[in-house]
Amino acid sequence: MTIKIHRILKSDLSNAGTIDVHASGMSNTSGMTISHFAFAPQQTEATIPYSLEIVSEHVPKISQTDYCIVIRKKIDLTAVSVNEKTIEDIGKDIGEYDYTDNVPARPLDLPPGFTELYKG
Amino acid sequence: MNITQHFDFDRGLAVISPQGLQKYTERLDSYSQILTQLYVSSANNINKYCIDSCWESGNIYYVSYDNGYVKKIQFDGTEIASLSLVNPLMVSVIQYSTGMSVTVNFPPQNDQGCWIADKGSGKIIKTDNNLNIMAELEGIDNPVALIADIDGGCYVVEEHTFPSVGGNLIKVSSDAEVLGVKPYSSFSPSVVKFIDIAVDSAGWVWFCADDKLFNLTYSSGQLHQQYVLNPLGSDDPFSSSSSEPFIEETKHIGSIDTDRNNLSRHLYVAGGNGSEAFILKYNPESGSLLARKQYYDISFPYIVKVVQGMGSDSLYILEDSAKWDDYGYGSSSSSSSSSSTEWKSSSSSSSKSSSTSESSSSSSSL
Repeated sequence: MTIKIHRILKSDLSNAGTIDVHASGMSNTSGMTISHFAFAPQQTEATIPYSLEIVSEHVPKISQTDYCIVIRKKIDLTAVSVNEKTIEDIGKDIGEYDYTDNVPARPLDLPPGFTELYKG
Repeated sequence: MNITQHFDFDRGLAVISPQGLQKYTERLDSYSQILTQLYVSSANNINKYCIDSCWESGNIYYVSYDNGYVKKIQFDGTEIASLSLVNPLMVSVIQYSTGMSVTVNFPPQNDQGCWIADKGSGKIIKTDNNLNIMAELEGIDNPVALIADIDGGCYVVEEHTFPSVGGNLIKVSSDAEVLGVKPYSSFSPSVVKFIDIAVDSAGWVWFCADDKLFNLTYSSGQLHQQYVLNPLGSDDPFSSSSSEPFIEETKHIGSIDTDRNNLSRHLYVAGGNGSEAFILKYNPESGSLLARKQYYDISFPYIVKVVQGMGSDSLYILEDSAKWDDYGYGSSSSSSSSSSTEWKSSSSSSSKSSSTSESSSSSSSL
């Protein structure tokens, strides 16, 4: 059956759209409920002033430059913060991935904004 | 590297059913399903509160009655925490704020936990944000509703059918202690069948029963009834004097919800019958009707959920034509009475039982 969920505007209670939920084998909405959630990020165009080429167990390239760091473990490269706010604390830019604060000696400086991370 | 995620609160919707959890987002001019996973519940489980989301973090809590667990997941489906119980029936997230913020932290793991009604063990349970049990209250045998309050506590509604008929609205503290009890018989007029409950950003309670809306506040161990609205009776906005015609056939209230993000704390009421629906919008301070709408292409609105995002402009309703008489309206006129249940609370900081019964209430009808 198809179950309908309607989006109603708060202002005048008019119907702003309908979602058809296709639920096979159901004869009614028993056991069904709904909740909104904070998702659906709006995409914003942005330019990162360097390129990344990172392959597990290989030397990463940042803007065509080889860096003598071997990625030994999975690293979460996602970074989310308030717009225009500089991420300064180590770890805040990796989504609390299971990391350590042990930073090995590195032969070359990383580009501004990067912090070297090491998973032993 | 700075990346910002903006959230459009009106475009995220989670639907949970025996077939699974489905999340929808609106992209351009159409909705598209982005995830189906996880959830298998009892087809006979008809409660409205088996999923709830944190406005601040975006985390989703949901329960599986038959499989006996509560899970907390990120919005991308990643499981954060799980708690095994006997037969969890309802969950209500303890919200940080009165409404969702524009931005959320990532990963979104910071919230205040939730309240859970575990029907199998007769308990309501408060957890932290990792689903560790922080406090629990025993003796809640037949919970029909559970909703977190703005003070970290909660309200629970329990009903009894044997040997006594009736129920109680119970105010519970953040330490799972009973602070106040209002039996169905103490409402004015007394109530028989519960429908729905909502708590607004001022802590006012909206208790919907017998197609009436009771406005309550809690103070000093008492739940005070301020006024009652009767939108299908004396306060019917679709009466014959209305400019909008209304087909006169039996109709009932299906669900209520409040706008916690709006300073005016508007109350939304949805109801109807098997072939039509109505939606009402009230000012809670005065009880005055602000807007009304009838739909002849929407059947009984079983659930209404107001989107709590800052600047959000919408609410969702779930329709089901088969639900409009599920409550057996008109089939029972038995008087309600309070039960002799003993509640026993325990928490990490205190462990004592208490109960307070309210023998009378202040009331006035509009």
